[in-house]
Amino acid sequence: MRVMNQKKLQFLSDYIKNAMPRVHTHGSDIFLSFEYMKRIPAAYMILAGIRTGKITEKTVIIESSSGTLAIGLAEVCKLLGLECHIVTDPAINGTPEFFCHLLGAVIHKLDVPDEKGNFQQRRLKEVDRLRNDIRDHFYTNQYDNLDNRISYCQVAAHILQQIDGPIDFLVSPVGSGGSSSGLLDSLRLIFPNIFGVAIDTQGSVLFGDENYERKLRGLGNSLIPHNLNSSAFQRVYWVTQDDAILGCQRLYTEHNIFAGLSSGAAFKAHEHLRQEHAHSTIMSVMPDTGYRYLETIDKEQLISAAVPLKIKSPINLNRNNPAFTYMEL
Amino acid sequence: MTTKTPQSIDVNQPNYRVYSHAGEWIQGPILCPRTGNFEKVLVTLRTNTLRTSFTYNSNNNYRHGKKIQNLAEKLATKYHAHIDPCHFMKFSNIPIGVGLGSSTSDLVAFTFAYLHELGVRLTHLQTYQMATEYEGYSDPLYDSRTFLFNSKSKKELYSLPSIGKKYKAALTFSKQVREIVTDELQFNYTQEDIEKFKVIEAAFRRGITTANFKMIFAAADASAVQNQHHMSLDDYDEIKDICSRYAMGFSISHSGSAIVIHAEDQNLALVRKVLAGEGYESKKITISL
Repeated sequence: MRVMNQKKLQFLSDYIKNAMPRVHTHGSDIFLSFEYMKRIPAAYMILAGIRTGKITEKTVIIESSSGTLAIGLAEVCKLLGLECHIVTDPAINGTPEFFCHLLGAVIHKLDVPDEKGNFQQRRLKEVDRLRNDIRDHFYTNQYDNLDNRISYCQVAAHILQQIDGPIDFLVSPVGSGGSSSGLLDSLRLIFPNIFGVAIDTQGSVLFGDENYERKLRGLGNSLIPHNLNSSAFQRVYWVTQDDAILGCQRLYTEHNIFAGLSSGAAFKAHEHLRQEHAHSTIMSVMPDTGYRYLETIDKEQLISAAVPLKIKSPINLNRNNPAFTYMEL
Repeated sequence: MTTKTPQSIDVNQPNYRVYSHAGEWIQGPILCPRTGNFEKVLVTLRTNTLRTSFTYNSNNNYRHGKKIQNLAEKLATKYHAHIDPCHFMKFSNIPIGVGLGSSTSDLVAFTFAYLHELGVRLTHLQTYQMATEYEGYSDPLYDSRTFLFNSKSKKELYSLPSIGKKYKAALTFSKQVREIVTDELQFNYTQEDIEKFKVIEAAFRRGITTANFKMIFAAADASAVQNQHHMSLDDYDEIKDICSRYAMGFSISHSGSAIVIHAEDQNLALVRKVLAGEGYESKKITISL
């Protein structure tokens, strides 16, 4: 068994530092703008695996991802000389897939969704198959690996070096539960009264909707991950793809942050909270940049005029006519 | 060896005063750059309220403890001159044996006074080092910088420069505790503990460098809460309850039982009243950055 040399581990620590978000402060609006947020848990989970001896130079890394975690793991594995297998679906098409190929990761792309229209369960079955086939493997398991959540302590420390006042609201897109629960937990060490706001989408089971096809990808889930502490949140918003696109448009034109669809979804909720709380400090997480989405979304829609918010309360999710909706938890 | 006759015998002058620190504000694991290991570190803040001073008066016949007696002998041997330590009168308002640095303050203040009367001129750092090398386990309180230091060796890991700010809103009180098992921390750090301390340290450092006392208090409180499972501090819940209702947090000294409650100025009287009702005598202090 050959262990990693110290130089490579230092590269990995530096990689995490370089992946930290820019902290945009616009009055009492704070936006955490990442290039690829999931670089941080990707590197941290690998580091933790090395520290505990579960990853050596011969270990094969396996993960299920259709987005930026795949990019992060592929980058880290390339850096360390590890073989990387990503189980994914057509949502990875475009930039993430291109980057993964460029970095030498092996892509296992499933084409047929399950009867509910989602890929999650089938991807996990494929992960199980790979784990049976590859003896010396490490499954990073973003949904249940606690190191995913712990990695966001470093993001909290990075933020606290740059802000002075308490944070009243933290708005986070929720998927694996790693960033949303991790950041909320660690910032609550210092600001215990932060109001946790989760961003989910229709067809995701995370906060009680049924499992059906999700139009908006990058957040939501068709299973409940161990890393999600849903009781830590006080409110959840369900955001449609159309509203997320409008959020992206407004985030760019109002605040000059060109971010992805999860960020657009978070910004829709951010704007709604701002209407309710004019003087509170609201921090929103912007998990990735928007460039990859330019390949797939309707640009005419992006430049069209914003429509008024459609708010329903309490929860009234209608799968045939989804709308921007929220509920207190 | 000669017996030195001091130049100054004015009872009002000079007065060699040393300020102490107020508890360990944050404590937790950090990667030591020198050893590459995770070590428990402490951060203290200076207070202008807790102080020890020595005044020379040849008419004094003040009886000192063994530490001061030994220190006087060593200083006399080093400089081949002797002044009877009984001529130095001590004043201190630092509670003894509760982790507020009373012992170190005694040694440093006495060394300042003794060397001054001998006519020896050293820098503050040199004086501090001379005083504390005899004790071997001293707190770094020789100037107003904020220190982050190793809990075992008391060696400085890094310090933040003084920004010359003071804050009156804190109370300290001492209580007899069964035991504070802080050594346990040294061997039971989880990766999560290590990462959470980084969060606390970042907030504390930001608070120090920007003189944001609310941030400092929040970080100290987070540290006390984070470490609670490693301490068998009697009445922890009671103290925590008082803090959550009337104050912004608290910190607990690792080496004794000094507890500092952090409250805003307008709430201090109320907190003191509540503490008095619970049987704790408290002292209002000023924190310096």
